[in-house]
Amino acid sequence: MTPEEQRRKNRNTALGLLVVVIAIMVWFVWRVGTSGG
Amino acid sequence: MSSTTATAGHAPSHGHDDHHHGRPTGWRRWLFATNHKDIGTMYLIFSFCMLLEGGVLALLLRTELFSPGLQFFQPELFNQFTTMHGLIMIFGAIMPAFVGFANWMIPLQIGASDMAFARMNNFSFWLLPIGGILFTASFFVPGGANAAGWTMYAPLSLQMGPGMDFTIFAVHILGASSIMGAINIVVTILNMRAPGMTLMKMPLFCWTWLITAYLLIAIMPVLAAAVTMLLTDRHFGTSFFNAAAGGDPVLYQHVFWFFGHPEVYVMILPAFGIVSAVVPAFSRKPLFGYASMVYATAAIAILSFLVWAHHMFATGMPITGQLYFMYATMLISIPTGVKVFNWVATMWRGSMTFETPMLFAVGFIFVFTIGGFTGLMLAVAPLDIAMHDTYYVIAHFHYVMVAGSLFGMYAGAYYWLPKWTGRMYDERLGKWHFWMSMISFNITFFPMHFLGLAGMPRRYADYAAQFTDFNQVATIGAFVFGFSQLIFLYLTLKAFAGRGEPAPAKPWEGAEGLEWTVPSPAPFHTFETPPVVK
Repeated sequence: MTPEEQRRKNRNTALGLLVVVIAIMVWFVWRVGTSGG
Repeated sequence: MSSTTATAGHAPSHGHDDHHHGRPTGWRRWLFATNHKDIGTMYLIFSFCMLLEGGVLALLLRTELFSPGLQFFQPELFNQFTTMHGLIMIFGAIMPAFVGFANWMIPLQIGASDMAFARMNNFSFWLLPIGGILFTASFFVPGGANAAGWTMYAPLSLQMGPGMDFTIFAVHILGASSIMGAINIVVTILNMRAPGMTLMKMPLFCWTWLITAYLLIAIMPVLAAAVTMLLTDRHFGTSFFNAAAGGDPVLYQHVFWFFGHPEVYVMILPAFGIVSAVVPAFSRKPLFGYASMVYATAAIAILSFLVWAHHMFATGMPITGQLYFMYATMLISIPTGVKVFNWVATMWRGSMTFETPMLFAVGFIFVFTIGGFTGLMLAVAPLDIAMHDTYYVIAHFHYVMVAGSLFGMYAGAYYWLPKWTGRMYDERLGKWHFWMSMISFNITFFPMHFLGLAGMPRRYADYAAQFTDFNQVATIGAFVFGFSQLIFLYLTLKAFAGRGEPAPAKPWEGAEGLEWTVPSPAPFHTFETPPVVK
């Protein structure tokens, strides 16, 4: 694997994880907003 | 774990790599650090400073509690101390310390040249002092620091002064740092392992951190969402948790503990990884049941998401809910028991020696197991309703967090200090540190079980006179424990100053892993050519 391929692979993995983080955060605010407050 | 013999790449003779890329000097080396070892060192130094700050707050609490009545602090200030002690220890000391270990050791253990995102690593670290300053500065704003407890339950947290906003902002910042650190660790472990280093050959410390990082990615956004909702309730007219406007304060507790319970495992799983490295090294045997250790760690992590409401038995809950959360919580003792069994089985008929890392590891197993058993008792709903918010809970989680996380960290620090500094520590003083800590820890926290069972509530500056004796014992123990930690400070400062016996590449006869194939101290750059693991 070339350094460029390695960087791309790392970046894609990180972006995937970042999407998970944002999705969890948004879902919790939405869910709390609709069930309690 | 299989053999991790490096056949290529970085052999000890490659120490000349040390200055390949013009290692930066002076303050730039630290401010602009992208090297995983430098950043790991900064994490460890920062977390130790926060440990001292949190420790001073603890000693102030114990000073007030030496005798009944109010001696030194008004209850409002006392509650600020309890709250900030918890927040500083969790977010400032334990979590960053384990990230420091991860930064130092994960690339060395998997044969990577550095972390996947070196600049993000720098940013993750430098967010920490900002969070630490916010925590500390909040004592000096009108109304003082957050006094709602580290859990920041509504409605109390909705009613406090600007100190609460400081806490919310600090938690946001430290949470962002944790998320970035966790993403960095996952990507490093998944994508940058040396050829031949399959997942099931990784040292258990890497495994526990991989699982911990996934936990962090799942739970830190929940905490961020919870405190953001607190913030908008406080200042922007929403009422997520404000009952007066139709919100639900108990819902805050659900959201918080959905973060809070896995958070406990964030603070203990890396310690499991360290102990799983130290015990085999000083037993001179491979770890017993490597695969079962990995699966047990994963099982603990998964179960940790399913038990949050055992922190809320006292809020009122349907009986079926109580039964579910009680039994689900008890289930966690099974994978945890697997781990304790495996550590003991590793030691069984081993050629054991008791250098300081091993003392702390064995001490960890002993006292952490006590904390596990008291946790099991608290999981029993009818018992928990009696013991909820008493000193029994304080005793329980300090057995897990101090004798668990902190002793695990000390085991790791003594184990890898020769690799970090190139110097051996003073074994005699290390043993003094262990025995003083172990004895004074138990003097401090064991009586708290009795105080709790007798009904002494937590988070009060005053208490009924019948609790005096045990409180005085606890306070004396706390001061001895606090001052014992200065031995560790002295030993590490001495090693980092380059004093003491020079350490060989592999100072521990039974140690295994790629980190011992590089010289001590580990050169600035390691594994630029990946080793091949057989």
